[in-house]
Amino acid sequence: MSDAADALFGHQEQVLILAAEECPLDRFDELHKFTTSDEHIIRKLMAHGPVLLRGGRGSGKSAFLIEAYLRLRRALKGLVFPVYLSLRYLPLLRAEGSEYDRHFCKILSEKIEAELREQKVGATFVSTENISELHLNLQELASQMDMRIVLLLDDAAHIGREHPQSEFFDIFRTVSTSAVSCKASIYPGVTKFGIRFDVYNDASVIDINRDERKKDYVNCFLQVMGARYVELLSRVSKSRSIDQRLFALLFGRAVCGNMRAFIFTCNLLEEKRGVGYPEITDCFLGMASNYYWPLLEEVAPKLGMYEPLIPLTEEIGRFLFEICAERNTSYVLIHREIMQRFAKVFEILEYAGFIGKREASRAMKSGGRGAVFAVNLCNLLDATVGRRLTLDQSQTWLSTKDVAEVHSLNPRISGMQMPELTEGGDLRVLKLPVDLLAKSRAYPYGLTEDKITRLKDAGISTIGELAEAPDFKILSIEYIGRKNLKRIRDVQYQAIWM
Amino acid sequence: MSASVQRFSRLSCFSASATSVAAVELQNLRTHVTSLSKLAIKAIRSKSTDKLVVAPFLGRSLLECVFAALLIRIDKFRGAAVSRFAAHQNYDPNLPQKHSMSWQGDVVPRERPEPDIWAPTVKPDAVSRALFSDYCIDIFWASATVEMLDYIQDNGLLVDVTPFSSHAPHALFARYKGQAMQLYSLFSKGLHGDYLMMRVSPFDALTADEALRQTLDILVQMSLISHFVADSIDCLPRAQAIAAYESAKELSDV
Repeated sequence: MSDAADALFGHQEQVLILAAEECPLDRFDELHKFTTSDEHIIRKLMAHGPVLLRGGRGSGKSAFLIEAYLRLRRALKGLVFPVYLSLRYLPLLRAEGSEYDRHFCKILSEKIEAELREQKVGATFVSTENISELHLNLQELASQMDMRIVLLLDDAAHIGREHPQSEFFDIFRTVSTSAVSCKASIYPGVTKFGIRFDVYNDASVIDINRDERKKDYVNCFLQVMGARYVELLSRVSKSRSIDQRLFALLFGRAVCGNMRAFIFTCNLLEEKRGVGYPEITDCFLGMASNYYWPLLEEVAPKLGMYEPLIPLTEEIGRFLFEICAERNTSYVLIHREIMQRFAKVFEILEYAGFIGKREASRAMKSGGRGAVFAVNLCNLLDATVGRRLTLDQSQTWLSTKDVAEVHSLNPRISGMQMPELTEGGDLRVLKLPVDLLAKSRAYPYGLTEDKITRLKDAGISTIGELAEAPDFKILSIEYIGRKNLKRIRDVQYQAIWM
Repeated sequence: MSASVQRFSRLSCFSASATSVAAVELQNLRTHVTSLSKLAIKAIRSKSTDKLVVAPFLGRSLLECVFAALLIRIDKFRGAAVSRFAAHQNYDPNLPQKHSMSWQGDVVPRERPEPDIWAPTVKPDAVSRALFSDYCIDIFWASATVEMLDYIQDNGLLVDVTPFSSHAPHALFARYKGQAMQLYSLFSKGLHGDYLMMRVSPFDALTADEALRQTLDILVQMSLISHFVADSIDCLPRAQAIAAYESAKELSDV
């Protein structure tokens, strides 16, 4: 790994708590901050009613669900029984139909039983592997407790596997009643809801979109810095070239508002002595080469049938950054015909944080209408001649006025072809050797060589086998204790789900 | 907050004429929307459980009054017809009236939409004039949304367009429709006493507050878009509509 990558991923503890769902609950409040707009979302998650929380990778979906869970436990104890459940469970990725239902009921039942014990609620829940029974048992539980139930279901839909999603949304609809409300996090690319689920009538959809045009955008990133990067913030406040608000705006915008990428960027800058534009330039370029492009490499084996789209995604991504660099703007307006043709490619680019959708329909000077995207400033800087960020340059890019237009007749993009996609098959990531979970650019959360050797010696040689191995099997390996197990599971979850 | 309430009621119930039938209806609705909004804000701010009694009435009435105003501003025929039926000598307020404004029919369509709404084979009865019918969305709302976003963009206005711009116009209105229907149903069950029959009521203080806030949000946003409907004469000058929206959107921040 390069020095820059070492610096980027050097903060092991911080890297691991990048994912809200892996943050210890006793440190959650300390490390997660929410703005006024965020409060609206959290309130909706706490209130009764079905909600779908939609956002890209690292946008903060899990953080919102966990915050709502914690607040319900604290503020509405005795009135509401919240259950937070991560659906990162391998059989759910592979199963279909009644088998999916059975796995879902099983893990939800187990979680409810655990929550009843944990929250010391004097009620019993009858475990089941049947959806109709689950529906009835939940009603019965609510009656026993005299409380409404909120099910916060995280990672409900995997980007690479669309098939089981109709089963999930069927369950979502069946289980939602006057006493039970489901809240689930999904990705923007989730479009197949099945025939029984009407997305606009059966749920309220909340889009998590940290948009630089919102009034509390800067405060959001400042608060996170205040919680996690006190020393860095103090250095910024003493800087003559950048103030705190401009810093928060620039860094937030640099990663299209993606919270996880923001943390990575701050980690990288923290390693440097200064906080001036030369250091910020290095930091952004480091993100482009050590974070963004490797991310496509990391995401590829999790995309299932969409994996063949990766080369095209990279080609279109590079094209967008080049065209924005030529026009000296950080926004691109793409004709709707291109959007329709390459819809999944744009979803992958958005999912990985290369771009962030800002407007669904804007008139183009060259005719027709299209969607506006913000592009991340790290890859944009990498695509500019000279690759040097200055105050003037950053202010030009922070302006929302100019957009680069890509018309459907653009010779470069009109010549690109979608590869053929074939349905079915397992995700390739499951067949990859566990050696890949070692610390690397693609898997920065990696395991030590020693742990990988021990896993292999115990007969666990692929990521899929690791995911299937029960906890007791891993704990039976010499020198692997509970703490190591959590670390191994975190890395495995990151590899398969994120 | 009082200024926000006034601007919201003007935005939703604006009439360009002072003397038409619609003007009288809109003035009456405006007075009502002002009072309902004030009471809704008071309810959200209140710590008393009394809000569980009043919130269903306030929420449902706000939905009905504002949607009636929007419909009258867009479809003059419907507003005038309701008024004429109500003025008839045989009109009896103690009896159900077939021609009164109704949720099912005037706000949401009674009929399931055809897959191709403009196919020549569509029967005339299936062409709904309800505020959220596919026809109304296609003819009025979608183009008004585009017009509004272009106006804000072309004039370089510093307006937060994120509530409108992240979805294509038809999807935005499918979303408004779904949310409005869910809220109407939630409030109606409160009015009809359904929650009193339940051992575990889903309508607690938190849910009531959030439902009222969401109601205000949808109504304020749709009221702004209504001023960009090309065929409506009851529109504020665009800059004034935007200014009124900027103030009215604060309502749900309580």
